[in-house]
Amino acid sequence: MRKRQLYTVLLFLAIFLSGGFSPSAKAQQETNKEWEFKVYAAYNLGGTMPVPLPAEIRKIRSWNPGFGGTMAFHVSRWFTPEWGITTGLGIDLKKMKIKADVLYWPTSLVVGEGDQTGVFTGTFSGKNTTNTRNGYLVLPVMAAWRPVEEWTFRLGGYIALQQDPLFEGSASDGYIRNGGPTGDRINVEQASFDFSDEVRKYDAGLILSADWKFNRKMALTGQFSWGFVPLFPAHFEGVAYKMYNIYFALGIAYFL
Amino acid sequence: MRHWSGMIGLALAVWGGMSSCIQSEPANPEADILAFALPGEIALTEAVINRNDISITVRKDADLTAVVPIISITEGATISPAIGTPCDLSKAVTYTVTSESGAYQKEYTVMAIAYSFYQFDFEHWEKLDNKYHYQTPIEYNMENERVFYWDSGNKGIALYQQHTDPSLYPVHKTNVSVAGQYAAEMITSKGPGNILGIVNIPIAAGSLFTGNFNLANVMKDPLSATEFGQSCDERPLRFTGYYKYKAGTGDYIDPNGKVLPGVKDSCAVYSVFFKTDEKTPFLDGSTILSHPNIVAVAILPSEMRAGTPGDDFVPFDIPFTYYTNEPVDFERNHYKLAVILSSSFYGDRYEGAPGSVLVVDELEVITEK
Repeated sequence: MRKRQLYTVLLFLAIFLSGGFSPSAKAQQETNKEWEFKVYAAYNLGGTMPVPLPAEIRKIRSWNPGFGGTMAFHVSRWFTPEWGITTGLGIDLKKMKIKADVLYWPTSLVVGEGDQTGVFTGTFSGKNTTNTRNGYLVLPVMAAWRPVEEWTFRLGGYIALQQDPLFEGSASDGYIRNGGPTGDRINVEQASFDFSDEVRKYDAGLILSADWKFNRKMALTGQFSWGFVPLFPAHFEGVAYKMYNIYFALGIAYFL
Repeated sequence: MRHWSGMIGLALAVWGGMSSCIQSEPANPEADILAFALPGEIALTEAVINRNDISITVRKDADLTAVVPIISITEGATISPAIGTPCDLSKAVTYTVTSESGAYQKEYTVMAIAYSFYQFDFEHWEKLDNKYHYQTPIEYNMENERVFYWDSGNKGIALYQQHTDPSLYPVHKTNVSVAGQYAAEMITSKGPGNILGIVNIPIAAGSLFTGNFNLANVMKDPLSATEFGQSCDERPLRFTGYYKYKAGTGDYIDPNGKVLPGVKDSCAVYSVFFKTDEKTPFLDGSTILSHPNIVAVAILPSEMRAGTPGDDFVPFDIPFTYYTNEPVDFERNHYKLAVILSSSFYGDRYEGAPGSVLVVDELEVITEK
């Protein structure tokens, strides 16, 4: 229920920002120049990762972006032919599946069920697979710069609300040192983890994009977004490093 | 077309970018003694490395004053005293291993054991590990040095449950005793359930035994974690002691977490005398009552395993039953003796009834002198 109310509020906000200023009849003729509406769809490539990669990550064996993408409606208000402001609303599915070799990777896992739940802390050396799929509702606000008719560049920030978190994976073919490097060595053939419930409910960060208009109605669009809010809250110890959403979206925009 | 090729190029660029961010390998933080051995004219067995304690059984007449042990340690680590230095093993010797990274140190105490123990009064309990608060019974030798003879399932429980009160662990001391101050108490309780998708532990029984609980493969093959037995140099005749047992009144739970209706829990109180060889340095949870190397067994009969009346300790005196006609020859063979106690007979398979309580005290294996 709360989720639905939130969508409604955001939608109204978008409508207000886009059309709420109800341009005067005179300005109406110039609407095409002053107001710009576009929808776009883009494919997401990137990762949810620590920055920089810690030394405990020894090798990235494979990286698979999966079928994740962005669909959004953006509104730009041009104050001069060159400068404007852009906002909008989008759905952003950030996916990644990564296989890596790790060495002495610190972790703290909640294990067991019910009143027998406990904590298992140690350093893991072996193979790690992480599978993330986080769905966000994204609201960007960007400054827009159009040096020539074909190209538009934008720089700004975004806030995003987590709608559908997934962060799971496995640890295999290695061992864990209980309590740290001098603790008991326990061989791990195949263990699984699921931190989905711990994923933070929001994200916010930097957004940078470029549109290349290849005809009057359409553009190729590329967008880089870098989340500044760690994926997990500070008290969560399953992943010892702060993970950030760093994604590049490549797609096609259509101007309404 | 351009769109797709661009995307593939970009994917490669992102992956390449991430891969190029790989930093140089961190210095090894581990500081282990991986293996410890003494020359054959001194040692009777391989050393047992149990956390920070190394125990090795030596010949009674061996000269231990200037022994050069064979030691291997973690790659890059350093050890003091250095490898190759003669040491006096007639008393406990301490080694310090420093990791390659310099950040971690591990101290090991090496103890040469020349005499086996046959009486256990459970008077001395100690923390085996600084990090965890559970306690384990300790024996003392003639020089009044600590000898690690016993181990327990507490080690496995402590992996995920860090109680600060030692009596909350399944194996602990109790001041309800036959003689002296303490006895050993074992309790069966509900287990943690599913552990990281590796193993399901519906029941955690208290288990105490002579030997070593080796955590290395506890996830993959829990029955192999219990390395039963300590060196034995006298022929066992009878297993005696005091016990009291109450089976849990609730449901009996099987290893899948299902209730087995009508099944009553029972305790394990037994001792196994077996021959060791290169392939069988010890027996484990899957072989302790079935291995061909078993020479003799003394086990509490099933009617006595079901429980004891009232609140009092009940004495027991069970003869060892010999399964082989082959004479026991301490000159030619090496033998071990295991004493195994558990509040649930099948606790090692993670089955039993929560609430089962076993208390034992004043155990003795009477041997042929």
